[in-house]
Amino acid sequence: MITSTLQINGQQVSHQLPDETLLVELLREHQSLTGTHVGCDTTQCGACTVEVDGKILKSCTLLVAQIDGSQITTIEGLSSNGHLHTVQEAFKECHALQCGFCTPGMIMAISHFLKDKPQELNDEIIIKALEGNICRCTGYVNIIKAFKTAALKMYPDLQMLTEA
Amino acid sequence: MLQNEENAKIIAGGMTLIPTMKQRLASPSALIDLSSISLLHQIQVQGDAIEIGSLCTHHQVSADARVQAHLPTLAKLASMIADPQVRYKGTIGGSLANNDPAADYPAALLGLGGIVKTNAREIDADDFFQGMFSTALNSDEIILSISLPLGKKSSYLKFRHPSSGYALCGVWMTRSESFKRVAITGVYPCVRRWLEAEDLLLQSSTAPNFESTPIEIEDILSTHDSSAHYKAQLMRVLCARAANELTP
Repeated sequence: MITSTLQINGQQVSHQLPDETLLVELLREHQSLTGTHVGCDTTQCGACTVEVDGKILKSCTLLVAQIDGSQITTIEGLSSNGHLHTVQEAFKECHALQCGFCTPGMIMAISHFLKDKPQELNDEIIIKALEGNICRCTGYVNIIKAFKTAALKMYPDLQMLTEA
Repeated sequence: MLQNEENAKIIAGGMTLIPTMKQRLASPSALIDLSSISLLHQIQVQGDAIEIGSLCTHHQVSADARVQAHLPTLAKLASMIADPQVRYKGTIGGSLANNDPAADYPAALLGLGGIVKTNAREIDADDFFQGMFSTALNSDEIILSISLPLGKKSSYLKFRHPSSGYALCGVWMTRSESFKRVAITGVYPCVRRWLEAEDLLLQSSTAPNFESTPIEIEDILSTHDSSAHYKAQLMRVLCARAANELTP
């Protein structure tokens, strides 16, 4: 057994867990934070993406034992005082989801990317930023639209390049 | 610990090891996590070489100002590995120790003629890679850093599998006055130099096209979606493009 202390969405939690516990198991089964999804369980789909110490990682491929003392932000921790995050608003506005399974991971990846103002943005940069997230409904067109919408809301003077 | 515990394994980023364990293809009796050793996360320029700590992540290597300034091709290679989430966790030392036939870093190490520094010794790139998922490392040996020579012009080009993103063919070419190397990944069971292509580079001052350069076709690892001849053609095309990039 391991003893783990983490800050999850600003709250300190301690657990005694089997050695092999993955972060996603801790989040879903011990913290009931079921917004983080398990899509492929093979490090490909990105539905389990969460932020760990300011980096986005796939929580299905991370042992709790590797990250003792870390600060975690999950999809549940993005909104504040009942207000959705700008990226969540943009997803709603652009209808950027169909089944919604990949959505938490997509939003975690996009909100992480947009934390710092990008120098410029176009489809190529967006597609590269979302390489670690797969949408099974083929909803990429509206996801990219939501990415741009959120980016412009957060940084109104952002240079949006037209495609070459 | 490695010596006392049979079947104990080092975990670096775990981006290969954890999926392998989940598939029950590996079941180590213990995992030894090195991530709190800060020395292994450092990048230093020392004379005419850059020394990269084994636990530097792909993200760190791609974003490091010294790597970008002194060895930009390596920064570009690191930014082309997998996806952002994996680049935040996967490490250069883990990638080299794992020696996946389609991994990117082995091509850089071999194509630059670098050195792997371990807790026991220094291993030349030419001696390090020994076969599919196999290296010269002993089971209780740990990579501390990788030393890569500076001041040589190099290029890395890869053709990604459209689904997995892994290299169907990756070419690292180094071309400077007296030093020509071509390392190929993704094609054979293990990264290897294409010596005939290196000879051709030595003989020509312009960018050759490699159309008739001999290739050991029978050694190529073919799969249902990429035949040996297809991969051989990718080698020729990517080498020609790399040579073109490196020819003034």
